[in-house]
Amino acid sequence: MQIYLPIAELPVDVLLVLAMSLAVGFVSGMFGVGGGFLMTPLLIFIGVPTAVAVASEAPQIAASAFTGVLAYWRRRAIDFKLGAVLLVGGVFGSAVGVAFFNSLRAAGQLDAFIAVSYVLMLGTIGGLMLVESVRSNLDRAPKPRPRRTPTRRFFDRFPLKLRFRRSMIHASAIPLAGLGAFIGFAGAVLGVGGGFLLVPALVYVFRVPTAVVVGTSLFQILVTMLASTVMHATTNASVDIVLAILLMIGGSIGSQFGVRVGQKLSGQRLRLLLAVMLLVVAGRFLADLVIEPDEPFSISQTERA
Amino acid sequence: MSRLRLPLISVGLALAAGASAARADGLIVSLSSREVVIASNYQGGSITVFGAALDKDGEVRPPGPYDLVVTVRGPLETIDVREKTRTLGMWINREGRDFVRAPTFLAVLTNRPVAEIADPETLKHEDLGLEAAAERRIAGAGEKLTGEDAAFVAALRRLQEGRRLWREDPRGVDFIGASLFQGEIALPPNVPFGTFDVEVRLMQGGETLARETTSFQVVKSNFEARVAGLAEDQRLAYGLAAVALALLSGWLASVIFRRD
Repeated sequence: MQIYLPIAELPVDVLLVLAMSLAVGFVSGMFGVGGGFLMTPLLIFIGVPTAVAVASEAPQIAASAFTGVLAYWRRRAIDFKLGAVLLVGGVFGSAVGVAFFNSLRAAGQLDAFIAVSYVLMLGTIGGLMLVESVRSNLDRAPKPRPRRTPTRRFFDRFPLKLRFRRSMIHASAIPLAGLGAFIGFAGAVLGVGGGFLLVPALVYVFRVPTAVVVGTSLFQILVTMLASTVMHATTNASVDIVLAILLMIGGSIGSQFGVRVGQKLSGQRLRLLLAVMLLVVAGRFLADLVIEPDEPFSISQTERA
Repeated sequence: MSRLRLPLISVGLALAAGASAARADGLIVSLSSREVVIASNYQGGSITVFGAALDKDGEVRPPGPYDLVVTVRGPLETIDVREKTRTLGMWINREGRDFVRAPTFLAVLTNRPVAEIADPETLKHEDLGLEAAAERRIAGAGEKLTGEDAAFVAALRRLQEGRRLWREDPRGVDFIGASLFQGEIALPPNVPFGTFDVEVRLMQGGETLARETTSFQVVKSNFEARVAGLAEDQRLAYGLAAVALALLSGWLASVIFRRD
């Protein structure tokens, strides 16, 4: 069953798009990641222009983040103060990201930039996770718990110290807002929510308890993606609402099943699977970059004459 | 009886042709449809162009052996062709050429290959055929194309043909009898929107005897047009609507699938 996407200006198979978003939703529910890093490349692969794929992913990520936020909110597992500080940076990062995105598009380097970024980002995170999970599989001995009275880090000397009661941390707002800005930037340019970047950063660098991290990161992703949606819509008019609706339907149903399966697997096995998947996606982009293309030429249309 | 009918028919033909006899161009052209509406289930379509070649007396009779060239040009845009070259071990867009005011859709239907209809200079000058269309529009090239420019010209043609947006059909025009003709303009699913100009040329020995133009529109159906129009004209409202939709569907999912 074909449906015509009014902004992407091409017909797509509804069932194919729904199946893709179900599968990505399943993965995102299982691992607790947004899934943007899988969905955006898939959309590009079926012929949706990169700009439309990235822009239409934003509302879908926001929708799935909102579902999560509501659940964590009921459990009071969101640190809104921490979220707000991240957001100050996040909205700024998104604005810079959308502007950067548009200039890359004009210069014809958007696809290459996205490919290189995916390779670096997914490759690094996937590689680290793989090493970590293989290592912990090898030595079964319980690891020493991370100490909560940390050594001083370089950014502990920054001014503007704030106390985040729910996260039980005392940190400067500057590196936090900086982290938020980076996530917002990545989200706007790459069409990813950034959960897979934000969660490890908050856990390992800022030592926020895991219980609070996921809810807070979902809150930050929600607001950043909503801002991204509006900015892509106003600067590019590239948000395809029909495509976004399809993605939301598939994504929200798929993630429910993913969550159920995810709960049955051990954390270690989950991390190993996620690591492998990140590396596969990174590998796919790397192959596109380094293997000589059959068709070195490509077309892009600019303004109507 | 039959003696009576024949003159009657010729009178009828003369009358029918009489209206166009005043036109010195010698071509009558019409389309099967003036508008193609693209709705959500659109999977491609076609329009038939048909007509008759007339000689100077306005008779529906061919003025000797002739050629027909039907050129359909979609909305004009600047098309940017880029070439990936190996940079730091990666294949990245480096060189590029702009093709200015190039038709996003181009169909050239003829009764035999364009190269047999006229010489290359005429084709380029008169903008006939895909090769000429690409060559004429490349920006910043001299009269004689360099090897690099020629590669971009070939690439534009190849890519547009691959996307089924450009097409050259050397058997695209069928003759019905001696002077009537028809051709089918195939429109792919990814056809662009806007005005499509149809130019029909009656040619003989590389010379244009007559030229006639008409046009048709490709429009989005109500829903698609409204969505695209809103996205373009009411950008903030459209963006906020997308936001509202995201929140609504996120909330719905949490209500439907709530487990705690």
